[in-house]
Amino acid sequence: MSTVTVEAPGGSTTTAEPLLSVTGFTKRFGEVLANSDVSFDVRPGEVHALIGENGAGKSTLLKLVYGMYKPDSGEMRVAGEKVAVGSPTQARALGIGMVFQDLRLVPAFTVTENYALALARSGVTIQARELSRRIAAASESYGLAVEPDALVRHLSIGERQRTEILKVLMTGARIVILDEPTSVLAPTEVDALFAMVSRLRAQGFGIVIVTHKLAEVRAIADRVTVLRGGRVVLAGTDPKPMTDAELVEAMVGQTVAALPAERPTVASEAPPALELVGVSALGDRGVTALHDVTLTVSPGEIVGVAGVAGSGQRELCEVAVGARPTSAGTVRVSGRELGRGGPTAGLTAGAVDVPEDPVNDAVVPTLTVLEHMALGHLRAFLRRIGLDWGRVGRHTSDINEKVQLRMAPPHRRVADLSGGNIQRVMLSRALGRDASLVVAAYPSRGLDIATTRRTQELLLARRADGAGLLVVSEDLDELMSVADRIAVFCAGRLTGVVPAATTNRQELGALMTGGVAVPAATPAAADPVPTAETAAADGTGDETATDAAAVAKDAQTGGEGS
Amino acid sequence: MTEATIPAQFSPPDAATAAPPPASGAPGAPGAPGSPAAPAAESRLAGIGRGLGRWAAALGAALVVFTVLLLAKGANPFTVYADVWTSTFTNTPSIEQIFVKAAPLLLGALAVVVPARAGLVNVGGEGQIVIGAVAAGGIALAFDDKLGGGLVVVLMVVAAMAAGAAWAGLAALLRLTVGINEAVSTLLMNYIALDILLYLIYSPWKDPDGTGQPTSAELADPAKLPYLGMSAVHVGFVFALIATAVVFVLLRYTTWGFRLRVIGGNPEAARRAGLPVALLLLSAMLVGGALAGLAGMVHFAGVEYKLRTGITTNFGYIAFLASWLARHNPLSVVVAALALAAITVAGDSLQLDAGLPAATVNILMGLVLIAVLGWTARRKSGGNAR
Repeated sequence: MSTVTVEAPGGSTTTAEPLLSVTGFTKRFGEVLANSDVSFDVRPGEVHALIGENGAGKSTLLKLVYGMYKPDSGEMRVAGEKVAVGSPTQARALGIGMVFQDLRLVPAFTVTENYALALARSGVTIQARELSRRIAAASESYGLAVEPDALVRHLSIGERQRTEILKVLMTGARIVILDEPTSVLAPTEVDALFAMVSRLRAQGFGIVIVTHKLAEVRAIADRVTVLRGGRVVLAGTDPKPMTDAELVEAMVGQTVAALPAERPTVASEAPPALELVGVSALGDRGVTALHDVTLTVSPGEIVGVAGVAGSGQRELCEVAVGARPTSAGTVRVSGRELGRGGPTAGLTAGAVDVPEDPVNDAVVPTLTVLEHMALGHLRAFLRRIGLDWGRVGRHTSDINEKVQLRMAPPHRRVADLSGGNIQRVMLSRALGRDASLVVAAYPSRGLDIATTRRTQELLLARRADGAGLLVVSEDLDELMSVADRIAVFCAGRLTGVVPAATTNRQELGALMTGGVAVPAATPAAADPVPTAETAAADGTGDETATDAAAVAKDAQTGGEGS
Repeated sequence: MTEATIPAQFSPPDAATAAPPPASGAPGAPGAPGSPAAPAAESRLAGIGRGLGRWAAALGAALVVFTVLLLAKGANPFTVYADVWTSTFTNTPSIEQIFVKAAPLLLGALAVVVPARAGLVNVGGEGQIVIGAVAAGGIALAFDDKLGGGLVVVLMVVAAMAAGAAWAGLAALLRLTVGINEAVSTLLMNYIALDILLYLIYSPWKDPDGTGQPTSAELADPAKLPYLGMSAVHVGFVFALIATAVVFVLLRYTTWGFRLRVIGGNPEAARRAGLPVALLLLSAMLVGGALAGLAGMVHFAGVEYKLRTGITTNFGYIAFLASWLARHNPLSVVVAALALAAITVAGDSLQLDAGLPAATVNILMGLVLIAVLGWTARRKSGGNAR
């Protein structure tokens, strides 16, 4: 007896017996109804996208399915059999595999050793050679290239993810749940992931993919289920004929206005917000990661930064706020040379940042949200002894009032916040203040649609205030809609600076691979655009060439959208 | 739902939603602005209750294991416990002894607390205590019969704190310049400190009128710490309480304390916020060392009066345990120091009354520490994705 109602309007999917079906799942945490009468199913050979805003109940549903939580009511069937899953181990035994977004691999181990951890049967010794043969065989048969003897820490995030997926398959999973798999990936890696997912679909696996990127939903999913406030608002529908606006409305519950197209130019007598002249810098491994970059961000201007992941974006952002020493060249923020002053010099000159990796670089897990607000601008809150917490509190509520990013309450410890909520703290802190330079790396990472839009509005508002902004993003659409100019990096070199209004994905893709901008994109003579230091001739730093080749393709197909 | 379901092993999100990067939609997670403060206060109370419960359980478990050891040793645990209780807690001299021993323990524990706030591990309390005592001894040898009572004690305090700070500061400098882990360097410097003490009491400072034991000459009366009223407790315990209050205020209310916490939580975040990380680390170690130095002076001028080989009786290490027992909280440390002092005093009576070997008390202390640390450990919250 199948209790599942199939609402998919035909299309490519067949109405086979679902591999997994959930009926009427309800889960309450105290006052919060995290899942309310949620029904959901996955059939063999389909990709079912589960989308919704932060807090819509996606994670709860996954955890219920994977046995990490117990539902208050509702039932679950695997291949038609009613089951009660009490633990992840039981879920795995039933053929349910979960690929977490923070991949659960030990970096210091080889792939084989990691698999041994997950696949360990009884017995004392690890049959490494045997296991490595099995991995190679599985890698072959599923078409997922995994090198058994590679050390995990030498693998890129995309490769780690593939490794993790193969591991899940080797534990016998028929249902593969991917929890926000693209949030950690570069656009090229997203393409590779989707190719892999398509192969698995063809082999009859049932795949659940959690995301909030609409372009991805349409690119990969056969059906989509939208959750909002713990309820299903759109059940198992074919996403292809749906527009972005329709999907967004389902997720948010209201329409989201487009960004204003008109950008008044901001007149300012102030010195450039950021001026890089011939700047080079070493990366973390002591190899030059930023080569001779000359770039200016004027007051009232947003300069977007595009490039394949690892092209020097991180080093660029850090150099701009003084967090990374330069090995050559000059950095000026609002006319003040940072020199060897470090982050203090950057802060004094008026630079704030949204770091690329807040958890490692900016967040102190044991401190509260309020304390983070103070930390961002300590000097402003000093008293004779200690800090004026009353003033920090007022400052924080002023910022909340102004930026409207729904930051977590001030007393919350940051360790207890999700990534999206940490990002809200970072954004509120950086965009709520009058800084002359804002360096924002991946500002919309981990955010839902409405908050992403709000963030973009805030970037534009800061621009209108006369601040200069340097915005790094992997989402070319975002850059083209927000930035005035886009600076493209390849292998640590600036390969071109193009006006956002007239550029297109092809041109950006070409620059990301190290090519030269097509003539049409050359900035007009009147434009105070510094000439890009082209890296065409130089032969160093070719290791990203293959990555870059793929991005050109990405530039055409479009990796993601918001 | 007819089948028996196996209880979920995960508590609701409030307890443990520390999923590192973008965890979409943890229910009941923040997001909602202005969520009432009441639940937080309530859970804090519940947290304290749970904490106390775990403490009690841990202590109970340690006692159970210790009882088994007593049985194995052929002792009757009930008479042993009864004897220990009466001889430790029911007579004034023993209770006074607890406070006397708690003074250096408390100061030594604070010497661990302050660096721990900045993420530093100071295992060097023992050496810093020795050096503090040596410095106080040097001042006393030079001045104790020349200066008035108050002044020589003040000088001894200042010298002991400066020497302890310098000793700890060396370890901090080693870490900041050549990157030697301070846990290792402070530990190793304990042995050097002890050797300095031995050298001094075997030759230059050896008491010429002594009985052949390698000790320094006894302090002159003005240099001895006075007793509190009629009791046998010297003012060192008051010093320790004052130091506790000062440390509490420093860590809790000053910018310095806040900055140390930031460094302890994430040094990179501290650096990027423009904090002078190296200076702050050094200052934390200096303050810690000064407190340990004071501990050495207090024990020397309050109890020992002579520098001798076993002057510290491992106070530095026991204090290290006290700080960990208290999870580096400057107020809880008072309780932990008193508790460990009580165990030490009880150990003496174990030895005397029950005829058990001297090491028995160390076993008890170790058991308590392991049980408490094991049982009160908070679940590790969120690692990093990369």
